[in-house]
Formats: sequence, C-alpha cells, structure tokens
Amino acid sequence: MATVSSGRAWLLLSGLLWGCGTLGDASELPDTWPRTPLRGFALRDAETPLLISQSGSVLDQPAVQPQTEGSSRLVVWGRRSERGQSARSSLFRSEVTDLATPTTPQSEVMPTGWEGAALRAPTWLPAESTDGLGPLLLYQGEDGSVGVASVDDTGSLQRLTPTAPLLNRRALLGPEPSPTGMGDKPSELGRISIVALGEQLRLYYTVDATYLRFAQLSKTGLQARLRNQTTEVAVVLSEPVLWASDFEILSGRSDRKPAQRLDGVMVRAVLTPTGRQRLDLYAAAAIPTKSMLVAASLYPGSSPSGAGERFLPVEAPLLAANTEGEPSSPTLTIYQGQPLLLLGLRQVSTGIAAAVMK
Amino acid sequence: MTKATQSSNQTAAFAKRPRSIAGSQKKPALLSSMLCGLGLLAATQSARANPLDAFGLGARAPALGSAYAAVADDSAAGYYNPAGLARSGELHIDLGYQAARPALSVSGQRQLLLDTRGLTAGIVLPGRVLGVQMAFGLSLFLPDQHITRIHVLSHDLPRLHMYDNRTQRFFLAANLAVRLWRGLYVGGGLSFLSRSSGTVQLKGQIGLTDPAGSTLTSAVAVDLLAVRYPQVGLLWEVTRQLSLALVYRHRFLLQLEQGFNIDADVADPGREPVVTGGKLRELARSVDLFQPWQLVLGTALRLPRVQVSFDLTYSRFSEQPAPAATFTLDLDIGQLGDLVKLPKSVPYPDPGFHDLLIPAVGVEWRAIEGAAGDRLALDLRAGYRYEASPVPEQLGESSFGDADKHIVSCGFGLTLSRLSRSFAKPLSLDGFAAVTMLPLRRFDKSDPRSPVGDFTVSGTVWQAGGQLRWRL
Repeated sequence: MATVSSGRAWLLLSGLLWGCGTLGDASELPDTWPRTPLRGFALRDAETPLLISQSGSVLDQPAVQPQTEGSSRLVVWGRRSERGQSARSSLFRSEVTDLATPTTPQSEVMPTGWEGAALRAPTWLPAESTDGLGPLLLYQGEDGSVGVASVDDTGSLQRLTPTAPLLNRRALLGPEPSPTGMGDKPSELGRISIVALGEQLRLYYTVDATYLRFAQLSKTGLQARLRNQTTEVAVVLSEPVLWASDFEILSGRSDRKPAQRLDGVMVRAVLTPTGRQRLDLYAAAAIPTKSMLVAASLYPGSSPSGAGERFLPVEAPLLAANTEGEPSSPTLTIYQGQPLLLLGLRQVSTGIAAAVMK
Repeated sequence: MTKATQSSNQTAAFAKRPRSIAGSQKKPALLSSMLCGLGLLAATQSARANPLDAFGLGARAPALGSAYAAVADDSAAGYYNPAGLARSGELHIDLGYQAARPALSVSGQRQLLLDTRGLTAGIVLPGRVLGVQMAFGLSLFLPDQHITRIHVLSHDLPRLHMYDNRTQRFFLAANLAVRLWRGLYVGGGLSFLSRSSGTVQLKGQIGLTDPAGSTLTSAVAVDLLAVRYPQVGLLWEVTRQLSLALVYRHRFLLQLEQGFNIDADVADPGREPVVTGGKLRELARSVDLFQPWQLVLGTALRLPRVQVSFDLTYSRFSEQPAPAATFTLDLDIGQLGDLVKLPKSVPYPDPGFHDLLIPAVGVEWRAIEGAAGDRLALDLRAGYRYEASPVPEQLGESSFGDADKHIVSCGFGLTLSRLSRSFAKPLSLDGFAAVTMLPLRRFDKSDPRSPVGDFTVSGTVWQAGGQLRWRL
C-alpha cells in the first residue's frame, strides 16, 4: 500500500487551491427584476427632453397607435394648438423611429362638423377589442363629445361618426343640476381614455378636474353604432372612482397639500404575469403653484359595472420631482419591451417628452 | 443627539477580505488569507456551509439525488454523514470539480445569477487510537469566484432568495468519526465560517458651502470573525444489506456588522466652525446567510448488483429571520440637530417561511464488474430529490421569489483496480449531471400599487461535475 503523509496531502491541496477563489469580483449584478411602471420615471434626456415639438405650437395629450409587437416604430397622435390659442386645436400624427432623434408632427387633422373648433384627447382602442373593425381612434370635440375614427396604413384618418358623436357631452355628464341663474359655469370634461374589460368598454375622464369617473358601454353597442345599426349607444355612468384630493402635492421642502386639480388622465389595462387584470392610471395633479404627474391603480372587481371600485393613489411621484418644466397628460406604452412614458412638457415651448424608468 | 433605526440597502459583494486593515487601502492577499483560514480551521476542527444543500458535494452523491446519508464512505461524508468517514478504514483522497448554472426567469424575464462552480476536494485519514477505529475527514468546496458573497438588500427589494447568496460560499468541513461497535459508527464536528465586522472612520473638517473642500482622513478596519456550529451523524449497518443513518446539522446564521463613523468640524476653510466636534455614527446589521437546522434520516439497501438509498430531511426554515439590513444612526451636530429629521424605525415582519420535508432517492447499478482482467467496474447511477419551496405567498412588501424544486440526476462511476504497484487500491472516476426544474409559481400582490407587482418564477438549474477518488 502506498502511503501519503498528511503533510504531503496538505501541500497537494494547497497547490490546487492556488487558482481558485480568484475569478470573481465585487461588482453587483444588474437588477433585471420587472417592476410595475407606476413610479420612478425620469426624462430620457434631461438636456433635450422634447421628442416631438414644433415651433410656435403647443403639443400635448400624446396617444400611441397600437403597433405589431417588436416594431421599432412609434406612431404618436396628440393635440396641437397655436401658442396662446388653446381653445382651437387639432390632432397631429408623428412617427418616431428613434427616441434619440427629435421630430415634428407629420400630419394634422382639423376639426369639422359637430367637433366645433377643437379636436383633442386621442385614445386608442386596439384591434382585439373591436371585433373586426381594426384599431379605433377615439377623440373629443370642442365640448367634450366623443367621436370615433379609423386610421389606414398611410396614416390617413377616416371619421366613423361624421355626423354625430358616439357619445355627446350630456351622455358623459349625466343629469346636470338645474341652473341657478348665478352665472353657472358649464362642467369641464377632461381628457378621455378608453380601456376594454371583457365585453365592456370603459371611457375614463375627469369632471371639472375634480374627480374621475367612467362611462361604460358594451363592445356590441359600439359595433352596432359604427355599423349604423343604431343611432345611440347605451352607457352607464359610474360614481367617482378617484378624487383630485386623493393625491398630495409636495409644496416647499416638506409640506404636503391635497391636489385641487386632476387632469390629463390615461388609464391602461394590464394583464399581470400571473394572469390578473389590473388598471393603471396616469394623470397630472396640481395645486395652484405646482403640477406633478401621479399614478394610481386598482384590481377590477367581480362586478361588471365596476360598482364600488376605487383607484388607490401611488404616494411616490410618477416623474422625478426635480424635472424642470410643467408636465401634463401622461401616456404609458411599452416600447421595445420597456415602459415608456410620454407626456406633455411645458418649458420654453410645449411638446411631447419621453421618460423612462430609472 | 438624534437617533434612528432604519432598513437599508446594503449591496456590498464581499469576495476576499484581510483579517484586519487599518489606515490602509491594500488589497487582501487571497492566498495568505486562505491559508490562514485553513490553518485556523484545522486548529479549530471544522467548517461547513451550504451551497451543498442546493447542489450536493462530490460526484457520486449528487448522481444519487443526494440520498447519501446511509451510503457515505468517502470524503463527501463530511457533508452527508460524518459517521461514514470511519467506515472503510482506508485512506481516501478525492479531487474534482463541479458547477451549477441557474437559468431562472421572473415573469418571463431571465435573471442574472452567478454560477456556482469550484473545486471539490477531500481526504479521509483512518487510524486507531487505543484500539478504537477512527477517521479524520476533511471536505472542501472552494468556489471559483467568491469565497463568500454578501448581498444584503432592503426588505422590499425583490430577489430569488434561494439562489442569491446561498450558493456562493466557501465550504470546509473537518470531522472525526469513531466505530463504536461492529457496524455502528458515530461522527461529528464543528462547522465554521467567518462573519465580518468592519468600520469606516473619517476624521477632519467638512466644508459647509464647498463639500469638495472637505479635508477628511480615512481609516478602514474589517475583521473576519469565526462562526461555528456543530453537526453529528450516526450510521448503523444493520446487516450487510441494510444501513440506517441519522444526521443532525445545526442552524447557521451569518450576521454582518458594518459601521461608518465621522468625527469632524463643519466649517468653511478659514472661518469659525458652525459645528465643532460633530459626530455621525452609522451601524448596519444584516442577516446575510441562513441555513436551517436539519435532521436527516437515511437508509440504504444493497442487493447483489443494485443499491437503493433513501433520505428524508427535515429542514427548519421557519426560523429564517427577515433577510434584510437594519441600521442605526446617531447624529450629534449640536444646535443644528433640530433641522435634521432622521427616519423612524421600521420593524421587519416575520417572513413566515415553511419547514420542509425533503425526500431523496438514489439507485446505483453495477453494470460491469470484473472486466478487463478483473480490473474494471462500471456503476450507473440515477437519483431524484424533491424540495418544496419554503417561501410563503408574497402578498405584501417583500418579494422573495422561489418555487418548488425537482432535481433529477444521473451519473457513472468507473473503478479501475490494480493499475500499478503504486496504485494497488482502486481508483474511481465519477461523473454526474443533474437538472433542477422549478415549475412556474405565481405570486400575487394584495396591493395593486406594489412596486414589484404580481410575478412568476420558473426555470432550471443545470449541474455537472466529476471527481477522482483515490484509495491508498
């Protein structure tokens, strides 16, 4: 039997250990865990934040046209008005191929007929929710009434409700209180945002920038209306599902004040990785001296009407608090697999800015 | 004086540290610290840690699904059952290499995780003392990349809990085993790893309006302190065919302390200090690594050409503390203290991990015996181990991702006998491959505003290894 002393065994082991335990370093692995896009955004390029802008124009209320998955193209619709003439506005369309290359609106749609002097608040209903009608663009006219249009491959818009809106102002406001004769101001209908939940469609919007509600209609009702099988669409109006005062605005170094205005709302239906549906809301909340982007979220309940549902406000700001300028009308989309926040940003000029999660 | 305790994000990877550094920025001398550590370990008897809980040790045992408590007779007994060291009465030297590559996804997104790979080595030294058969065994797993890795996250940050730090650890076990009576063996040892305690000390003057003009001298002191825990094993060869084993591994908890002290005046150069003798004391305490105590019941049945082994491990994961850091801040800046608000203490909730019962089964078949002039034998092996996830639903703030684990393995053992006069005893070459499958697990959050949101965990971990076992 061969013998090996314990000393030699130690020597052998020590020699083999020489190259081990030396290949690693103390660098931290990148955190690639997916996060919910409800907080933590910062401008993609703080030096030149505007992705879409036009001299002398105010561009805001961006909405991203549904694209095939993996497309590097970003087709953005939004509202355009001349500076100082916000009552008159049109819809613009702009194609972005690279977030690092600022661009301008490439086409424009002017209001006509029942739309009055303004077109605003474009919002997209994807093709899978329209039963063969393709992706639909919903928008608001001057008084807040809602129209529908389709867009062909060349980007040309065709109105599907040319003679009368899909939903008029009265349908969205419901029975209004009797006038007092004391100089009542008409209610203000905020930016609309449409989401599909099963067989129902919900059109979210703010009233008087004070609270959020939705008008619910069925997909079949929408299709019947667009195929001219009926002239009216039945809607059910919800109770308020979120109040401006649910959000707090940081005023000064540490004071927090309830927001007085909530506007520019966008609501997005998300299917979570475990298969649950979640609604994420993005908006601008403001006090007289400050405006900030905020988010809220809810799991839709089992009630088809959405009764009792309330959005829960996210405490942390959606966009970094040190962002220069006044942000408005956020829109979230998934671009090249990552959340991308588009927003109206007023600095020297007002245009569409892009923000990413940091 | 203002005080506060708060959770924190401590993300320091910690590969190699000298025992102590003071007023120095020198890189640690790895080899000397390792040899120092080895010497210390030899002097204090033992060491062990637990990447092996996940991947096993050696090449034969992982091929058998780690159902090895009643089978062990080589240096791997230092992990599976120290009593097995005294079984063969032969000098063993084992040397090999093993690797594991996790390919895990969270919500369909592949996560970046470190491989676990490194040298395995071991020795069994038999002997007799006062007529009693004994053996001393040393078992080693030395990772390629990190001797140990510290990655302490705040409680709310998501992580793949079982594949983060748990598999990045140096392992060294030294055990003593004794044959009590015919067929009855007992063995045990102390387990050992190091924990760190360190402080960064800054002294001097902090520029009030020009922080870049601060003049501070620094000193760093880090100590590696020994952590020990025991393990014992019992092995009973009831008959030539049947063996029973009982093994206890004690709990292991790696606590880290890192301090940061500033003693400084706050002033602009050439002006009267606004604060004289200001002090900031920060102490971070974190639980980085945890191994539950384990009780293993094993059995092995040897038939003429087939051996079947079975282990059942009780793993006390319910004692797992919140794997996060707390830190204490003491700030003394005189009358300016009122202007500074330090965050309040946030106690961590019990993570609520579950205890586990882990079954494992292994089969070894002597496929070829006595070939090449009675010089060659070939064993084929297969194993299966099921490890449920100890991690409960993650409805709240924490997001510890994990899933059940099905580990399927196979391997071979080629034994060569009478190779030469110097190698009169058999030389074995073992190899194994294994895959750990984590079926999709869904985690829902109760609050829709959760920063992490609902998530899923799934994936596989691929393993392979080889080992030479040399009997002398």
